[in-house]
Amino acid sequence: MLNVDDHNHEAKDPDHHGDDHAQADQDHGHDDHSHAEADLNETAHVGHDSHAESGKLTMAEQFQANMNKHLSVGHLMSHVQDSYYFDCPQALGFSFEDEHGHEHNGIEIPSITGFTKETPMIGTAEKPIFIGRLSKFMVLELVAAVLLTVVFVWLAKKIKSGDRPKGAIWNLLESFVVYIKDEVVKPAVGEHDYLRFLPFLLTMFFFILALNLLGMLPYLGAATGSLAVTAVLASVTFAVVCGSGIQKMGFAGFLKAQVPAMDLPPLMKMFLLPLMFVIEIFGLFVKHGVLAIRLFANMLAGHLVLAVFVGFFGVLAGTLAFYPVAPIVLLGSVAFSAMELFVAVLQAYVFTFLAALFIGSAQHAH
Amino acid sequence: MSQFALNECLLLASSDATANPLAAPIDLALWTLVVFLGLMFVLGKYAWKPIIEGLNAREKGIADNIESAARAQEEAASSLKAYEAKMAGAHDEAAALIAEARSDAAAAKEKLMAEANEEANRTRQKALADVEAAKSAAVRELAESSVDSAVSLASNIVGRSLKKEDHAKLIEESVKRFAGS
Repeated sequence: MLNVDDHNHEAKDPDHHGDDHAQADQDHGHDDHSHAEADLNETAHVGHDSHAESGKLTMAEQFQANMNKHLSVGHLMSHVQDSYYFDCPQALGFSFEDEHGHEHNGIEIPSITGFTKETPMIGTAEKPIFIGRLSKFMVLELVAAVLLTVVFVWLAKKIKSGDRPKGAIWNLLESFVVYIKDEVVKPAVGEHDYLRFLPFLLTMFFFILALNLLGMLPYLGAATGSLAVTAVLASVTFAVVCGSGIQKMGFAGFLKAQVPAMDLPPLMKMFLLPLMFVIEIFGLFVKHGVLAIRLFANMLAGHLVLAVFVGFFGVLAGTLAFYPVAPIVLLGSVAFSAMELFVAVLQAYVFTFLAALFIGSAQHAH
Repeated sequence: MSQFALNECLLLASSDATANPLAAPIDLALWTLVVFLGLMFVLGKYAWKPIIEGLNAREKGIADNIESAARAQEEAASSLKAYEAKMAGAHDEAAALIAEARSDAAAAKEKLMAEANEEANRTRQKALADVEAAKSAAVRELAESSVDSAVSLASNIVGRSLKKEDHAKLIEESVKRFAGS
């Protein structure tokens, strides 16, 4: 989520803004990533020129400067992509200096291994391949895993006791588990051997759901908005699909099962079958690739839109337009957050449902 | 607002090199793999297995409960049926008893009436017969005595005694005459 507080901070004292212009420019430099710096310097120049002429920024110039700061792709992406620090409200006073000497509002994740982006474990500073440092998404994944373990071991104990479900949390969790079990996995995989895949698919659903929902909390982030994460989840699914198919039908049988059975004249068959085989195998890879991209793109896009919404506060800050427009932006971001909440559940469901379908189709010949 | 150059701004922004939405760092990928597999192992062992067992046990328990409830209901229905049949039988029996009692009473009444009638008839007949007998006896006695007195009167008057045959003949004639009158 987004660091709203620093925008609000500016919004609160728009009168001082003109006087603090130089200070504000400096803040821009610190707040943004190094790559955005060039743009900002340019803006700073514009600002200084007009400052010299009129002694005060015009509204349009203020917009321009704010836009460059808050709606630059670099700034927006910095909120939705992985990083080595957690954003936090400026009022808490947490700040740190990164390797470039830039100051960030937030809490840096300590580098336990000693490796940094500049001195990666594998690769060079220009092209880091394996950095080997704990990032925000890694921490969030760990948090999600611990939360899920605590919650579901508790649920297991409750269910094992044989009591009737009591209380909102128990009922909520159980209805999720039972829904995935009876309405998603059982019909998709088939009654005969769905129980074998249930642990995998349940873990998949709740892991994705937990990561998506953590992304809805302010100052955290959605790890599922990174292709690295979704690609791994899709790859694991791919491995389970192929592994279970090969286990069931043998390697050759699994490959053969990819091609649908058809009643064709032998000559046509000789020509068509290899072609279809290539297409189906290609399709197998594409299906799982799309699985990764769908989840990643949905989460990234949703959070980018949210970032833009909240970024508007920053754009409006220091201008008179703030007062009429801010409530609209606020309502818009609340409404979009509600939709993101829906998307968080929906995407976890879609991923699990499709994974179950793929497993099911690998169990039975076309 | 003409200075508010959105296009220019976007152009500036798009030149930003940090923003690569397709970035997929290998360390994050590996970490994800390890965390996911670890989570799957832990949850599979300590959460999903007991949860699924518990759910199945509960499902079975509920199914058993429903089955036994259905059985109990069936039993209750059949015993209700038996009871109702019994009630209906008792009702019929009672009706039969009443009908029987009624017909018995009617028969008894009939019999009593017949007996009473008979008795009355008999009494009447006997009384009539008695009256008849008394009447004829009286007639006879009267005839005899009147004949005797007539004979004695006549013999007194005539001065001679009638023979036995004349005597009987005279009685016969006077009885006839008496009866004819």
